[in-house]
Amino acid sequence: MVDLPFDIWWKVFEILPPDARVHFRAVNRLFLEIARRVQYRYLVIDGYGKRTKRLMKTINSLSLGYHVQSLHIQPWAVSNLPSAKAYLGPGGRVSSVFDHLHSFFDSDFPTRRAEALVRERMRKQIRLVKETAGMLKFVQEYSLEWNVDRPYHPELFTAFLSLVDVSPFGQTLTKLSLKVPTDRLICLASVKLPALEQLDLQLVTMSLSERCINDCFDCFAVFVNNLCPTLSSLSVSSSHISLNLNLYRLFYLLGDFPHLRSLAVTIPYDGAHFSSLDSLQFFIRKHRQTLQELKLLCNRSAARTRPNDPCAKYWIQRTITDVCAFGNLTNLSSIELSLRPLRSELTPFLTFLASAANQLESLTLTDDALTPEEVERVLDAVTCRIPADSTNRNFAGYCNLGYLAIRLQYLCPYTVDLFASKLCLLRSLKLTFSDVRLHHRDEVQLSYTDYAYAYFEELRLFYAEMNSRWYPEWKLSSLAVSECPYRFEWGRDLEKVFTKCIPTLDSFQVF
Amino acid sequence: MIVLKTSDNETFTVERDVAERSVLIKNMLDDIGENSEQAIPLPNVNSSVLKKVLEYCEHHRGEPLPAADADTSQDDTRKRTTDISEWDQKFITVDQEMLFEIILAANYLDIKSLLDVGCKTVANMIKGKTPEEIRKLFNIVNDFTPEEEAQIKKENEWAEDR
Repeated sequence: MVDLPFDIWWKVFEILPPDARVHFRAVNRLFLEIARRVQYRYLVIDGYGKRTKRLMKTINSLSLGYHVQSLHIQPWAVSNLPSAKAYLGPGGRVSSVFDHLHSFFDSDFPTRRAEALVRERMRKQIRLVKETAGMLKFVQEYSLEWNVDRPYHPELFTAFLSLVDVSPFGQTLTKLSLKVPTDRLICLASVKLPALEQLDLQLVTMSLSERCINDCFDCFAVFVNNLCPTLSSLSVSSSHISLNLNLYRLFYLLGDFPHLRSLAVTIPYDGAHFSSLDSLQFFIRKHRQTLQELKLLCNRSAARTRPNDPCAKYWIQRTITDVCAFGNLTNLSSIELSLRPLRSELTPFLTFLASAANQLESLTLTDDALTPEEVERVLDAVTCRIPADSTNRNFAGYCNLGYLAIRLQYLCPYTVDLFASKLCLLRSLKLTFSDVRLHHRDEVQLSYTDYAYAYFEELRLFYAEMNSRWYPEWKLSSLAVSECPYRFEWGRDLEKVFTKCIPTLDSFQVF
Repeated sequence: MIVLKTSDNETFTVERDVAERSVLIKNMLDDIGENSEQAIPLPNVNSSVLKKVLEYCEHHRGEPLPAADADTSQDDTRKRTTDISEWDQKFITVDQEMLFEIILAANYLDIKSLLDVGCKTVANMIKGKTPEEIRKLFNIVNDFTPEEEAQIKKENEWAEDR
């Protein structure tokens, strides 16, 4: 009888529904090992319900902690209501009457009692989480996430931040993701994580004053700077609900990281979270020899409590212009940029792309949608450093770009031709668009008065035109296109068209 | 056309796009070049199994291959779908010995979609069965001590709360 190996049973287990998993794990030791590895790989503690309590107690009593590789904690609100069990039985009834009477003579009694109950519960809950964390010896990823829409207990964040210091996994941790109340970051100052490579920080400062935030940064920067022997990826993001945040201070305090390969900064569109870009630009310049990946992204505009420099919204343009002015990032191979702040002028962005064109392997442009003419300018920039060899037509326009994600105003055959001719070595392409057109200039658009019919006709013509295309030189193997909610079977039709004209296409996805 | 040679020395001549449903064969073809007439040896697959595998590849030729990173996805809902298309279901209705052989061949030849069909079939066989029934079905020996069984029962308490 043929038997299946461990990894096949693993695959089988992964597709089993929960009730079947329970029976699977009780079959034999091999199946139990598979079940434990899959089920305890990611440990999520996002509440203190019956199930989570049982899970933690099981991990502790059966010493299952060594299976956990990733720990995610989202602190919860601790209830201040007495449990139903407290008033059961004769003793409980007496206690209930006593509480009721007590509140007649002491109006603060219910509040004090509720606070004491929360404190006691919090103490017990923290103890159980700490005991569990003490069993986790091989955690590589730890994330602590604050749900800003819910009430929170600062004590829980302090306790769970300290896990990295008191638990054995502090020695093995390679990735730490933090979204915590900013004033809690102070407790990390003395923490040392000898293996940490990746730090993701999401800042939500709410209405904390700039002075208070800066004091927190002073402590937090000590922690980050202590990661200098190992840190290879740093991501800092902030959102519009941080009213007085100034990231100038944080980047000013950060030192040198000899292994830093990836930097991501995401702030609100208007650039209000940098009073000056000097420290960020200096930080990038310091790491220009090692940086391989640079992400400068934006989200919705911040609420302002002070007048903002009207040009602050050009923070991405200014940053990349500075990078170009002070010499290239010699190893940069991956770029991700929000185009929104760049819309007024594409030249700095194209200059930056051209400066990295030789080594660029991955390019992601988010936010604004580009016209076919703008796409052409981008592709020209990406390929401009490749010498046009007059004797070898195919050499001109080749570049190393293997992945491109871009947003288009519309897709037309002209744009597909551009991708195929200029990016012959491209392996993976992700396109966001919601419309297709036959031509790439507005003046030759169809002039139907019935828009629904016009759309349908345009789509039909686009498919017909694409069916006549054939890209034998294009190495594209993966294509992803955005979903179009108002077009029936959009993905299926596009898949048909593209698999026919791109012979190397292996994978087509609609996202 | 491509020639494939099985472990029992039988040869199969198949069209390139059919054979290239297998990532292993595709990579081998890339390595040995476009015009090689060499037979590709498949020492881990016998002729009866390869015949079935090629039947599957023939039926699914031209379909896009699943993305290479698809199995690293954390999408539990997608992963836990055990639905199998009608044709695939009919194709995979074989005895258990052959089912396991097809799964092993799909794994070796790196044909992800066929491997998925095989694993889903095994998962469907397990669904609704007690541990004892699963042991009987796959001829598995219960190697737990009574203490270990008690531990598992305790451990299952939280898992059953899902």
